[in-house]
This record gives sequence, C-alpha cells and structure tokens, in this order.
Amino acid sequence: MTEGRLSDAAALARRREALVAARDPERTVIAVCAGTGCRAQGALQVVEALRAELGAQGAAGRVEVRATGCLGFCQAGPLLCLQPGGTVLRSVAVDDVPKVVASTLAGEVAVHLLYTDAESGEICRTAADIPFYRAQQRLLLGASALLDPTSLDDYLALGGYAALVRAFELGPEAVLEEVGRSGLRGRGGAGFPTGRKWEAVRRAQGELKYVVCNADEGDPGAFMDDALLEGNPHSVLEGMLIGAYAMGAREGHVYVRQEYPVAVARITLAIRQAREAGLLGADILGSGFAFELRVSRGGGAFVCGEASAMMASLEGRRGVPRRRLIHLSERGLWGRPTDLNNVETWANVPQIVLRGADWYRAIGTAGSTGTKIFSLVGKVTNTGLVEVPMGTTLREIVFGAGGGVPGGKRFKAVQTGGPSGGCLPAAKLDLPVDFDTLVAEGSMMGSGGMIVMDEDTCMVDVAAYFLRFLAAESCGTCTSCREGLDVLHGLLTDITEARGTRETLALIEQLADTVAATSLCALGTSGVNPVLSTLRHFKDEYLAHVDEKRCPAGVCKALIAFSILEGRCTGCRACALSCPADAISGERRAVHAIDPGLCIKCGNCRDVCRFDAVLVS
Amino acid sequence: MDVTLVIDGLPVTAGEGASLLEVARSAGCAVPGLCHHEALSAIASCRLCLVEVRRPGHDRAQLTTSCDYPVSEGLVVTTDSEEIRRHRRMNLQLLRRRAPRAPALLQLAEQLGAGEALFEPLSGAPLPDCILCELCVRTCAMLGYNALSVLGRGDHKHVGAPFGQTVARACVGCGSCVEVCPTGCIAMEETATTRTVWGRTHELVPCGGCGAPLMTSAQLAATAARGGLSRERYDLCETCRRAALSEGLASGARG
Repeated sequence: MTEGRLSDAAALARRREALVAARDPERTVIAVCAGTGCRAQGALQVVEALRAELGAQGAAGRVEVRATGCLGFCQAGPLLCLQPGGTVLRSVAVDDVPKVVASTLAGEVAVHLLYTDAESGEICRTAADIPFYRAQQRLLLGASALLDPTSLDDYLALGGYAALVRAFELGPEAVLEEVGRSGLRGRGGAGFPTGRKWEAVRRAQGELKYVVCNADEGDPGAFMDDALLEGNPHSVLEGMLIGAYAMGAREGHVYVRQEYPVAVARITLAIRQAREAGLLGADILGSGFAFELRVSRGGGAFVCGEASAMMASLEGRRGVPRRRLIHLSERGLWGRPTDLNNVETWANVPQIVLRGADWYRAIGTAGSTGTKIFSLVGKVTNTGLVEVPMGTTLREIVFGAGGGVPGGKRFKAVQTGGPSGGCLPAAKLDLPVDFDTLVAEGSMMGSGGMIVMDEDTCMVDVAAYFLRFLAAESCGTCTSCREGLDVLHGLLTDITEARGTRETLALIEQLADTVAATSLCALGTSGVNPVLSTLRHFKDEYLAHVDEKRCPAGVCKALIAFSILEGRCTGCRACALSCPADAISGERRAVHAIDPGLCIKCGNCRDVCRFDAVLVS
Repeated sequence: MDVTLVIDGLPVTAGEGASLLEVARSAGCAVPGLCHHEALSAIASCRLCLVEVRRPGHDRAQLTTSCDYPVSEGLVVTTDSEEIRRHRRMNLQLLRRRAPRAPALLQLAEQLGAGEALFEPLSGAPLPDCILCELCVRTCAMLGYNALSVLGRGDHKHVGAPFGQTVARACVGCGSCVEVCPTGCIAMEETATTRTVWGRTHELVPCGGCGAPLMTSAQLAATAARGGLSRERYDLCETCRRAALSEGLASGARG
C-alpha cells in the first residue's frame, strides 16, 4: 500500500527502503504474462485458477501470483515466469494449474511445461536458455516480469523514480546534456535526436510549454508501445517527468488510442498513483518543480500519429495534418512550445539519467544507440516482442530470436517500418537494423513493426494490402495522397486481377513519383514505399503477373487454378466436404476432381488436404 | 514589413508572410489552383499551385505548394518547369476522377496540356463533382454559421451537414458555399419566393424598396441578431439603401 505524499527525495528513499525490507526475496512469485497475446490465450483465467488453487492448498500467503505486462514471447503464451530462479513455463492452460501449483509448492519444476527448442531438442528452464530470449537485451521490457503494473510500490521497490531524483540533483541543463550525449533518437520512427528536440523546446520562448507522449501506435501488427504502457506505465511517466523538468514544461499529455483499453487504464491509474504520492502536481519531491499530466484518447485514426494531426486532435479539432513551417518546439499544442516523443523514447529516459550517457552509448551502434523493441509477427516461428541492441541484423532477429519461417517454408521477405515502410528480400537479411541503414534500401526501421513473409506470400498482393490500408487512413486533405494512394491501390488490384500490363507498371511509377513529391505529410510521401520497395526488390514477380498472367506465390485468384494431383489424392472426401461451392466431385477412395467452372478459389481444399494433393498453378 | 524575392527571374516586393500564390499571381504568373481563397487560410488541398522555392543559404530548390507558403526575404521562386508541370498534370488527373465534367477542370486540363483523362471517373460519391477543396466548409465557418462539415477520411472523405445529417440545420441559405465552389457541385434552387439548398427550403424576403429578392429570412434574422439591430434595418437591398441614404441626406440638407 502506498500511503501519503512523498515530501522529498529522502522520504522517497525511506519509502523504498521500507518496501524492500518488507519483501522476502526468497518468496515465491508466479508472474503470469497478462499482455495482449497471453490474455487472448486465456492468461487471466490462469491467474484466477492459480489463486484459487493456492487458496485451496492453503498456500495463498506463501506464493504471490502476479499478473504482469507483456513478457514478449507471445507464441508460447500464456507464459509463466517463476521467481526466484526464473523458471519459464509455456502454453499454460487452466488444466495445467494444479500441476504448476503442486510442483511449485514442492520446490520442483513442472518439466512438461518447459520450452523445448524445436531445432536442438534442448529443454530450456530459464529465459536465458530459450533461443527467443538469448539474443535480446531487455532494457525496457525486462522489468515487466518483476512488477505488477498496477502497483506503484512494485515500481518504487525496483528503484523507480530514482532517476527523477537524480535529475533534480543534476539540474535541467545537465539532464539535457546527458540525454543529448546518450545519442537517444526518436523511437516513433523518424529517429530525430531527442536531445536536440528537448534543447529546442527548452530554448523556445514561452511561459507555458507542453510535453506529449505519442501512444497512438497504429501500424498493423505493432504492439511495442502497448506493451510498455500496459507493463510498466510508471517508466513512461517517469521519463515524461524528467523531460518536462529538463525542458521547463508544466503540463503533459499522453495521447493513447482508445483501442488500447488496458493501456489507457494503466497509465490513468499510474497518473493517479503518482499524484497521490506527490510525484505529480505542485512541488514534486520538494524540488519546486510542478507538473500535471492528462490522458487523451485517440479515436483510431492512423494519421493522428503524425505530429500536427495529433496536436489538432488534442485541441479537439479534426485530426488532420497541417503544414509545419514553424517547428512544434516553437509553436505546437495550442500555439505553445511542445515536445512530442514516442512511448518507447520516454521509457528510455530514466535509465539514461540514472546510468549515464556513456553506459547508454555503449549499447547499439554509433549512429543509433540503445536498444529497439520489434514486434515480430507474420510467418515466423516465434511471434512476439523482441528487444535487441540497435544494429542487430535482420537475420538475427528473424532467424535467431524469431526461429525462422515455420512449416519448412522458404523465407521471402520481411516488411519493416509499418505501412509506410518497405519489404526487404532474403539478400538483405544481413543488414544491421538501425535508423539509417534500411532507408537506403527503400524501407525503414520505423517504430519497429516487422512482418515476416514466406514463399506463399504474393508481393503484389502485399503492396495492394498496404495501399488499401493507407488510402483508407489518409486524412483526405490533399489530392496527391487521398486520390493517389487510392488509384495506386486500384492499379495494383488491376495487376492481381489479371488486367495489368507493362503500361500499368509505368503508370504506377509515374503516379508514385508525384504522390511522393507532392503530398502534404509523410503518410503520402512515404505511403508509396510499399509499392516502390516491392517493385525494386521483387520486380520479377510483378513481371510474372503482367507478362505471363501468373502469380508465382499462388495467391492472386484471377491468376491461379486449383487441381487435384492424381498420385497423391487418397479419396478421403475432406476437400469435397470443405468446399463451399460444391466444386469437388469424387467417390470415397477414388481420386477427386475440381470443376474449374464452379471453383471460387477460396483455398479451403488446399488447407484441409493432409496429403498435399491440391495443386495451385 | 516588406520583403523582396525573385519570382521567375524578376524581383518582387511583398508583405512578409503573404501567400506566395497570391504574390506570384499579382506579379503576373499564371499559377493554377482550385482550393485557395484570399479570405481564407490555405489548406493546400488541390496540390496544383506547386512551385519551386530556393531559400537563401540553400543550394537546392524545393518543390512546394505556394498557397500555404509565406513569402520571406530572398526567396528564389520558379513557377514553371518541366517537373512542376508534370506533377501539376498528374494531380489534376487525380482530381478529374471526382469531377470529370467540371468546366474549371476541363479548362485547366487544356491549359496544362494534360490531355485525356487518365483514370476512371469515381462513381457513387455522396456529392458528385466535389473535389473536396473544403472551400464551402471553410467559408461557412468563416461566416460564423458552421452549417457544413468535413466528414470521414481517406477515400470516404466528403462534405455535408455535420454528423452525416441529411439537412444542414444551421444553414441560413446565404449561398456563399455555392459562390465559392470551383466545380459548381452544390445544388441551389430558387423560385421567386424560396431558395432550396443543403436540404432546406428558405423563404426569400423581398427588398422593402424595389421588391426584388433580398436574402433568406433565416439569413436576415441571423444578420440582425449578430448586429444587435432590428430586422427593419436590413430590409433594403444595396441599391435601395443607397437611394434611401442619399434621399435622407438631401432632405436633411433641404430641411
């Protein structure tokens, strides 16, 4: 229980000492990952079952069950991490709970729930043994397993808000200097040096200044910021406090999309806890520094992740970008100097202040320091959040942590940088991932989305998918983006539906050139990247579509035909029963046939066939 | 404060911060554009007023829209080049999907040498021929009525009554939106005594002098309320008001 206001740094230190002293480091804690992925797989029911079982065994007082933020390894969820010892249990179902409790109380390990590395057959007990975690350096995500995100005490006991105290000791100028020297760059994707942004806001004229946290994570498949806000909200809050102190801002906003209800609840709770503890409000920890923080919920428009659109939305107007001739650092929210940083950027700040710029600079590369969290999704064995030092190669991320492509399929491409990013082929897997390298290859690191694609993915279809997304999410203000992206989507669809010609390709290139050159904001100017990067790295596939009317990946319905291989079909009827168009005929134990006139190319037959007898050509 | 810049090789003096599009046009350069109005702040929607601007101390010119570009000392501006024309033509082609028959667009296509329409016309837009320049919405807001709104985003964006209502309830029928619309896509119908626009039919009040239609009853009420004066103070058309004023002055002089 947190009671009362912390009047100064000494009071904070006393509170921390008392909390640490009251905790038994040998007490067993079962941390259950309650991040989005594990929740979807039933983690909250596992938490309930664990508590009930421990209660039934009369051991509720001896073992703490803690629902934590995302532990990253979504593929193996619901994930449990036992302390002390760090044993990791994977795919724990409610049915497994009695065994987990029994073995835990007996001081044993529930061996059948340990992770087994498919490649080496090795049984892994702790996170350090699991290949998914081995290459990672979880500076930001690591604390998630150790704290209950709804508990300020947990955060304090782990040294929380010590960085804020350190910042007060250093003074604003020295904090700026430290953050600048750390080389920290904006994690939202643009990679602007954070120190320089802060410096500009500090220097800007004006009594009232704002700091804003961009938690409008909108890239399909990306959930890094969600995990940080859900799993360790106070680390983001502390980062914002330090930034506000350094820049002389008295007010802050967290702009978080309302599709993240848990993140909204967690940061709202953290703000209330901090206010009650005197970590927000007037005269914070007796320093004389005052700061207030509010949560604003975004309505789900992708474009509101763009700075000027977000400011408009925060001001209660339509979230559309406007031309920024004057930097936000001079004239941002309500015309005041404003600093806007991404969730992950803010979460880095406390560690930089506490451990120093030199320590931070030693992680990552010279131009891109620190770690970066990637959400690794798509056709990859280990789906999840991967936090690695900047400069780690794509191969280490996709094949090292990610375990490569499942089902014996061939790796084809990895899409990085969100919808406005690009697709990189296997030949680029050894590129180091940092702010600058991928840009040269027509993609970008962006905010850290990473979608792996295998040989069954059609790159024209992928480009069309992203253009559809962007055309729908364009704010619609400028012609180039609103109409241009929609037409590009139409032209790509022409190709996937067998209407494409060489002229279509030429028109795509001409149009993409104008959209990139004349759009109002980055949604348009970089919105052509999915087309241009696939054209650059997968030109052959485009040509197969337009010249030979063939989709090499067997995806584009207008360009493929389904048939049944005589030698493989066992006549099991599975395909015929799954066919929604009744296009498959054949007696039991006799070879089946597909009527091309009736076939709607849904692919059900291929999916259900256990004998690989359905051929797509 | 006045600044000097160079547009197409000629020095031009203008007030600092003025719209580059307006400055270039008053210097005689034919810069196209459909979404700009000197009374409204620029949103740079149509992307036709593209120019190249080189700022002092910069080596390279930058392609930019001119309506929302404020002029400053030492700018070097080019309003016509092959690159500019190429992008203007393409953006015009994109706009033509929405308003294939609009005279303003056909005329621009001719001027810019854009040739035939490149893309299929869009069908099913809530307001056919609307190119989404928002001039109507911005004008209505500027006049203080706020009867119109931008709705939706992306390729679903359209203009209409707020919150998707079928009738613009705050509309007073002043017709300014019709006046500013570059494609003439807003339907307004008038009889001798009524005007119908945005789903509402307004009664037209005749001039107290000559009897010609003056304005709608709603506009008269709104104007009177805003001025804090009685309706009678507004019931003459401009011609009759002048006549009455000079009559009054003359009778005063005689008296």
